[in-house]
Amino acid sequence: MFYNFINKIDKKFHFSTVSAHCDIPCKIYDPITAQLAVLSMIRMVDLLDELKNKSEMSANDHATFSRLVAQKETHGKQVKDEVRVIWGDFIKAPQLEAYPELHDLVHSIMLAASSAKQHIDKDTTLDLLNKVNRFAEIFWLCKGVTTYTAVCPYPPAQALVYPVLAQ
Amino acid sequence: MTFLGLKIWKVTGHSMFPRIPQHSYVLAWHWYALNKIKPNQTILINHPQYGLLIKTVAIIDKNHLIWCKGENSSSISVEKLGPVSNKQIIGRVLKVFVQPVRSHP
Repeated sequence: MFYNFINKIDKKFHFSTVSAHCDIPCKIYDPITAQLAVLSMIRMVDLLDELKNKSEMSANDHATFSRLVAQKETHGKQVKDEVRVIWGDFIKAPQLEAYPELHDLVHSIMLAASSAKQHIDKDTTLDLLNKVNRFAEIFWLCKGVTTYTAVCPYPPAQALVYPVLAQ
Repeated sequence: MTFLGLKIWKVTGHSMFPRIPQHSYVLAWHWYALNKIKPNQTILINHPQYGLLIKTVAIIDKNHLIWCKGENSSSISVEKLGPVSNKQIIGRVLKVFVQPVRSHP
């Protein structure tokens, strides 16, 4: 309550700032790339499932199958890379103290991403999305940014955690 | 805007996280001299190299110089920050106003 009141005054009168200066150069981190990569994996699984329902596969269908599997593989690797970078570079003792589940969560994302790469299974990719969404939520909360969940307005139309950036 | 030695400051940076996250506001008292500065108090200092900083008092040495620290591993080390004198202290933090965290459904 007090914060919001002071925040309103600040917008009008602009308080002086004081720096809680860090020794490490600020870097750009955003879990959205990992989240989009999981969405891509889910989309690939949906398209692969459509192919599965065909009675006969043409040469074009075979080519499409290969491309979809390759894309799923690529995006699976991207999920792991993006989460690993945030975990390794951004997450430090204070964030771990605030969210002790982080190590286990990241490890479970690595396992779930591998599983999602190995199988053409929607439930597996949805499980990965849940985990990555939780990771994104913790990331933004660590930055003091609130989050909300909304269904992305494009296929595969899954719930995604977004930061509330507008003040 | 100062009133009776009291002033509100906005905090930028992460070195005081999690107690004082970025974008928090702090109420600082300029007439800190009425109360002696002690270890673990949060103070605002005018650092010759880094400018206006918010830090926690680590120790006060025998020469009455004040050594400050951040509150997490990404902070500048006490040694690198170096000591400051009483004259470099802008104020002592009396109250911290942290942005409330809400999860939207």
